[in-house]
Amino acid sequence: MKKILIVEDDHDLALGLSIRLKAAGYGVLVAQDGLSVMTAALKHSPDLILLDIGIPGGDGVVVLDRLKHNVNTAFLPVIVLTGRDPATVKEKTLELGAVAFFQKPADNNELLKMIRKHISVGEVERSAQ
Amino acid sequence: MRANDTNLPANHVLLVEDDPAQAAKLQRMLETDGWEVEVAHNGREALDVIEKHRPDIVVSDVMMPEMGGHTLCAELKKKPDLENIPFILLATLDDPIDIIRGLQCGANSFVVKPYDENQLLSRLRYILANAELHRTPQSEIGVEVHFAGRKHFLTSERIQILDLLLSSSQTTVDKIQALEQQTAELARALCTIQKLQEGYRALLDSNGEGMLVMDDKGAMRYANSAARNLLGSECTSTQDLPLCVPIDIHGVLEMEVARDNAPQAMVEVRATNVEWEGQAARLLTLHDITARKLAIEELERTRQEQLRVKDEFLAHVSHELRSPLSAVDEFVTILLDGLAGPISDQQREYLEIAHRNAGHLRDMIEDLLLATRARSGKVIVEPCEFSLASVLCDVAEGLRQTVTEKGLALKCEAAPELPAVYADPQRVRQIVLNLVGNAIKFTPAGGTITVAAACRPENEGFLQISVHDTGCGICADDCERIFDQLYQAESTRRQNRKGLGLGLFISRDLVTRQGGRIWVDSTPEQGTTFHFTLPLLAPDQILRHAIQERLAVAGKEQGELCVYLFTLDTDAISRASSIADNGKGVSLNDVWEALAEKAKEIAFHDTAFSGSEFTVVAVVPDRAKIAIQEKLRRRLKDVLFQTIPGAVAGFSCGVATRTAETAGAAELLAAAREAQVRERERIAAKSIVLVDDDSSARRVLRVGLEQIGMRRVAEASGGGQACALLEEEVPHLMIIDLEMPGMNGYELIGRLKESRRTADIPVLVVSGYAVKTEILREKSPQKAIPVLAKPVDLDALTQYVSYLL
Repeated sequence: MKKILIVEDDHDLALGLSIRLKAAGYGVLVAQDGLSVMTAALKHSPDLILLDIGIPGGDGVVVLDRLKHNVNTAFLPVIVLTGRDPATVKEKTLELGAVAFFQKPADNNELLKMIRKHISVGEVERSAQ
Repeated sequence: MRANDTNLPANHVLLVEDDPAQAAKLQRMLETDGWEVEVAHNGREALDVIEKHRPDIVVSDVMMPEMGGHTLCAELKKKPDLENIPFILLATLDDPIDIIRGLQCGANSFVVKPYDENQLLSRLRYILANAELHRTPQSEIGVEVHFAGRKHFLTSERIQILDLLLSSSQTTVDKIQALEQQTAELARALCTIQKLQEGYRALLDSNGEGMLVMDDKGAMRYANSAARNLLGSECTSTQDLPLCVPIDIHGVLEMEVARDNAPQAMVEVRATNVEWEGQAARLLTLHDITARKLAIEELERTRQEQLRVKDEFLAHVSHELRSPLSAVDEFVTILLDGLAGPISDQQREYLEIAHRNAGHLRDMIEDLLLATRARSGKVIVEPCEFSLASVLCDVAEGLRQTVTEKGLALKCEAAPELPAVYADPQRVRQIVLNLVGNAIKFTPAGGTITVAAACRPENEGFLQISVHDTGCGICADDCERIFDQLYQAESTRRQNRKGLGLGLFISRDLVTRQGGRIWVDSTPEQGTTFHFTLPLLAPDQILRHAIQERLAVAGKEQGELCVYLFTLDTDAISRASSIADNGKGVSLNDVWEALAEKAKEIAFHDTAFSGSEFTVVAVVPDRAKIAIQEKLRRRLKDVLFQTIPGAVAGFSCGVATRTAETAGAAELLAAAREAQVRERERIAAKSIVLVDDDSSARRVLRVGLEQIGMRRVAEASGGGQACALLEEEVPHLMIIDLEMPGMNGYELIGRLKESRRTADIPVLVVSGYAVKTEILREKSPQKAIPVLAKPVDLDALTQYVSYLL
């Protein structure tokens, strides 16, 4: 089963997303702050990370930068899912290496489509390695 | 003493006067005094009366019709029986001729007009009382007097002459008295005037308003203390005035006062024509409105600040509302999707109601957020090329159910073969949804909504999208305001309060951000059509087209200025710089895109650039990498660089001019034109040597160089001749052909580089054959030499030449 790490400090939204992703057949992990993202990513090696930007314990942008600078997590596809104004973060996060940017509330079907696309892409890349 | 105080019968006087008013006045006066008065209106009439009634005395006017006073008197004195009736002439006696004629006619006495009543009466009484004295003795002693070139013979008696002299001296005395009186009056008036003038000065001096008097030559004649305070006390002439006052001021003028040692002031200037010390002058009143202006500015600042706070607050609120709403929406959807177990039909129905309303709420919050972003210019538009027809049909399809439920028909008239537009499909969808949503709201059942797209000749380069409805229409007044934020037509408010009134405001923002425009046609009670346009080409394509066109024109019209205006805003340039910093190098396309975006913005949004005059100038902030500027300069013909102040570095690589960052479009254009003229002058002053053995090739190059204004072009047919030319003068640039008999181009370049005197001359190589680059590099190891292939493209030539110079 593919695992998705949800980084979301809002408990309700994290739960909603979990239900959605589980229903779509994914395993789900939740991190509620920036500090635990790295630990969770290294420990559980998820297949994809859904990253909120406005989180305690290190801004999502910083977390993304750290993920991309660690050889063990740099390959992980990160989808940014945030309530922030895209004008301020979209370009920045895509430049840092996020594969997609969604603004909350995201269209569930679009989000699932994007997740499917990148998990399979991750598969190919890793098998190539 | 009255004439009839004695009990004698009243004396009988004949009054001869043609003016009835005068006659009546005299008559009344005499009658009051006790005379018996008879009136005759001229001499002839008087003669009859005298014959018949024998008056005791005759008082006669001089000037009368038919027979005047003089003639009457003379006639009377001729008649022995009447000659002793005393005759008094009422004369002005201000003309000596009058006096002479009076004496000649033999009048007994004279009363000077205008007469004093008492004087006249006493004269009458005196003459009557002394009638014996006046009885005319027939003396023949005459005197001859010369007067006014004529002889006059007078036979008057002494008494007569004395009488007359007394009368005329009386006149003189009277006149002197009157004169003295007038002089006194004048002195009093003068005194009053002086006092008034002093008051006037005091009024000016002490006035709180600044008062200036300027004569018609513009020289300052007076300034009161308020004016001196306002303008600075050292101002003594209009040259020193810190404000420029036009000669003709009509009404009120607001002007700035630029003072040396004080903050700038604002004054209201009024002017009137006055006479100042005998000369025509202008009186200027200066009313200090600095405080008012400052207050207004302060108010405006506060207002802007409050608006900003409001926008931030709205943005924050809508953002904060979004998260809990997302959760509501999410969990309702989870229930609806059966992810938490099966639900009954009734539960589904209720959940759908909750879901639908959460949707409305979300749409409103999104609109609110978008509107605040539109106000602060933060809306992101991500344009690409796409086919509009599919988007329009998608929107129509999505709304089909709502439309059918309301009993409306929805038609989509967009041909699939329409050209692609360059816009953000998401934003276009949003605009169309907004417009169709409005149409649905305001069209009663049975109506039709039509969405159409077409290319129209009046909007060349754009696709026009129209949303037509058969609804209630919009009145003309509202048509102008419906695109304003929060504006809702009166009819909307009455009928239906749904919605925030932000839809059209957002739509307009989105349309203009994509380079189009939006407008509305409407007939009340018949329907409304909203139109908007979207560009068919990407901005860089548009720019390329425009530039190509301009280049074609510039090629044809020799000597015409061709200016292109780009602006590189700080964001675009920092993006380009960061790409450069990341070591990926600056691709010219990246910069080009950034330029194009901005240029398009100017071209679309600034009326100064609309129409045929498409002009491009690069405005490069000083943060820009010099490398970028250089690349741009190489790439674009006639591009001028403008930098914001402080960008000294820019000049080293050919920045032509600089303007303030806030310069408006017109200012930029003017600066650019000026800079271009300077650039042409700069280039025209440079000397150049063409070295080519082929004379026709030299001619082609000369023509190209002369087209850009170069006048100092020397030619050499080979390396040897070129060296001889160099002995005379070191040129600013050499254009060298490589393959030549004798000393060829490679050798010549080697020679140039050997001598310190000529090593720094920039060289441009033109060659019809393959260039031996390794030899070139060997000859000029320090500096790469640009090469142009023959036949030479003149555009490229001029571009290189202006770069190398």
